[in-house]
Amino acid sequence: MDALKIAKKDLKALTNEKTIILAILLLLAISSLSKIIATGLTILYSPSVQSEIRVGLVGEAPLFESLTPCLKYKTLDSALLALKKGEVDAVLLINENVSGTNYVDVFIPKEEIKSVRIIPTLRKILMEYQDRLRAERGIPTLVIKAYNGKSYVEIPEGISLQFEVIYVVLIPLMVILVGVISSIYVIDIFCEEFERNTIELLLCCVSTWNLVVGKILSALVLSILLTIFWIGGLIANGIGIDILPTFASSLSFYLLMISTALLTVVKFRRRAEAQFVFSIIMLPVILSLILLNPSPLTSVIKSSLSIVDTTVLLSVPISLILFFPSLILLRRSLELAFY
Amino acid sequence: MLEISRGELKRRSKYVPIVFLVGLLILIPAVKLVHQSFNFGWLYSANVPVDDFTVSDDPDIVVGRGVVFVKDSLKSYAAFDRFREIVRNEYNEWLFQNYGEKAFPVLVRVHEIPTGLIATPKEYKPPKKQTTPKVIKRTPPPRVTEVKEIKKIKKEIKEIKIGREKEKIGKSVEYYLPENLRPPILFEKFVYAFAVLLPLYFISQVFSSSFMEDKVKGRIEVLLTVSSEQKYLAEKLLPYIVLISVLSISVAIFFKDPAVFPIVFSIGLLMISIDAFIVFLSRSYRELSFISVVVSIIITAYLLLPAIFSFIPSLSPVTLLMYCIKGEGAELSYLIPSTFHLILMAVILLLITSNSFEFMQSRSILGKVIDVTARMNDRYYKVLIFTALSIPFVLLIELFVVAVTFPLREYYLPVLVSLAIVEEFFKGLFIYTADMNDLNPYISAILSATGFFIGEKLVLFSYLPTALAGLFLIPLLAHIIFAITFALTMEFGFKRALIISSSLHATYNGLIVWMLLR
Repeated sequence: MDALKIAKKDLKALTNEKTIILAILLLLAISSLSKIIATGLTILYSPSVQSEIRVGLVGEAPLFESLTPCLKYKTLDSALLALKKGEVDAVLLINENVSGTNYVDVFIPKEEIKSVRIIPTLRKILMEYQDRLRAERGIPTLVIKAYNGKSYVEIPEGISLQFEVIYVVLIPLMVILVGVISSIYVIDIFCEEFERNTIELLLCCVSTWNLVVGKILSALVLSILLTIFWIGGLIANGIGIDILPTFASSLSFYLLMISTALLTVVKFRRRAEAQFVFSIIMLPVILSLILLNPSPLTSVIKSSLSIVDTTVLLSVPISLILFFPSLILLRRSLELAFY
Repeated sequence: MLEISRGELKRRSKYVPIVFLVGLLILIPAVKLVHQSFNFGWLYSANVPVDDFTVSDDPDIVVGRGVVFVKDSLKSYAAFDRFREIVRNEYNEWLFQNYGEKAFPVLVRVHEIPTGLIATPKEYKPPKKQTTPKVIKRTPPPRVTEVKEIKKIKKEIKEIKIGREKEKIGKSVEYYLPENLRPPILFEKFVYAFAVLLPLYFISQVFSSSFMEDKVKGRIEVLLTVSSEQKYLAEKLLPYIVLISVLSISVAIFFKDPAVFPIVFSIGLLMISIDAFIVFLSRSYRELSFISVVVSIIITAYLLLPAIFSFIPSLSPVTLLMYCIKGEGAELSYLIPSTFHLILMAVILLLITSNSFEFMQSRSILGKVIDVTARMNDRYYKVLIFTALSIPFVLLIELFVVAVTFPLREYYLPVLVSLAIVEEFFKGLFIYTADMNDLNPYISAILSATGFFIGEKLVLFSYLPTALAGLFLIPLLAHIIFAITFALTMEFGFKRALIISSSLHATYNGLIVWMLLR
């Protein structure tokens, strides 16, 4: 019960300052921003945005001309002038060589959103041109088609990028962010007591165990609350996610980060030092966790996609096994310091 | 002389080498390693072994004889996209082994031409042998999976004169297979740019911790007995500004481009000034941590988001940084506005912080903001200037607001109301605080609306044709009406006046949207 009182005290202080609302808004903003990025990137790559473009051609390329309508220019100067005037969307410089390599110079408008529309279309045209030249040389061409049941499905080029931005970048980013907020919060609530010398007063009223558990409990309540918001934010943005496994694996990741924060507090009692050392430790750790598979971060990714394998199932018990020693270490360090 | 700076250096000297070590020695190679090792094949499954796909009974794709079956889900489509990429690479490898270079009949290179210039290409001479260059070093590519950039041709720079302007084409020349033709997204450089910026977060973290410690422990009051507020802040900042400068110079030398210095320096200065302002706002360490994390992420998004879409005009400093890393450099016409607006924001925040010491211990954040604004906003001309200068902050907050309300975009109303509140808050703040200094609220309202309008349009001028200038009269009038509404109702309190003027503003925004969509 004492632990609950400690947790309540810390959470009350947190809600009084209302800054938690900022953290919640931030998570909602990131879930939306990332959706915007993912959608934007898909538009960049997707042939679904392909439209008719006006191609200016310089040079002799009869085979190319048979594939796509072109406006022919005698010189590159006049073609570039037409590009600048907006008469054509792209200029291609080709001197066709049916038996050799064709070096195609493509001129497109710089730094214009227009180029986003042009490049996927040009890619398709040039791929057709490549296939045609291969066919002329008796080289087999590659055709990969997707079917859903009996119906043909045109799958946009680069759609995996959108998928991976959402599940491999956005979701880990959310988990890391909540983990960092919870860990920094843990450092704050312990260091605050050390720096104000209120820890001794608290230890007169409650046991060390209750004090430690109470403070961790408030950090866990905070991380659960923030997790509800980021998962809710993703769902509101139309991103499919397996809620319960994601929730469980995220919590196990937070436990690992909170454990690191506790170990930092064991060694460093001043907030500035503890937070700085924690940041320095976490940076390479997080980079490694992104790199490694399996890792607690990849477990979150897998569980969000309903991929349940041994590593995902083991992530929770492993986190708990690593979490308890740090709890015991902090408790012992407090007892040694204040009893 | 510089006692506060020396004291700061003495206390924090052990952090400095760590920041440098992390920033320059560990981080860039680590990020590079992570970037190179990114492979997410394990996300996908197939019915047969495909690269590093998982073999599953319920696969994302079913590979049959000559066809691939997919499910109606994003994951399945993404799996097919990856599968297609793998098959293409293997096909290219097979082609190269069986047919050699003749299997790759088309190689493409892209030149991006600035179209904003008036073209009179009299002096342009087309490069000779452009279509059949003999300078290709045709050392056979060992693996055709590396055919992406199948042949690097020796770098050539050809300047063409178009009118009075010069432009560069083909600075770094690479030929691609048509399937590898991609929009100009500088993802790889993006990772490096992020790695360059990371040490700046640590520097500002150490600064804010130190500044907050001075505030909480009451050191500031003691130090202010022997120093002025401005001198204290300047000396406190000095070691960190020097550190940011050294870091910026080091990165500029590393990437061999002097333009990197102003970019990294201006970002570092902005970060540190934001942290100074956050210390002023925060009442406790906990609040400092929360606000600091939130603001850092918002600033990161503000800086990095435009860089993801790097084909958009390069006003984003991180986009310019990416171009510098790529070796293309940053044009001065982009570099100046890009870094200037960051430095301007930093200077404004430092100015506010240096005037805020007597309100440091106040309770509410809104109260502090009103008090410190009232201290500075005591002349009519200041109302006009301050409102105009608030525009970068307004745009930053509006970006955040749009992101938060994005899931509700189909309903328009929450987005329009939120944007109206942000704009009316800033205008109202300067009217309210001018009134606290006994300035006429109606004159202040007109000046505030005009200042806001000028600031807003200065940002938009570079994107809008001047022919549209005549249409600006209506928005100016609207701003004045909203501001006068605020002035009329502020006797009921700041928040109520804000609600009333924002409601009016949101209604106007709604009308405009309705007319545009009609």
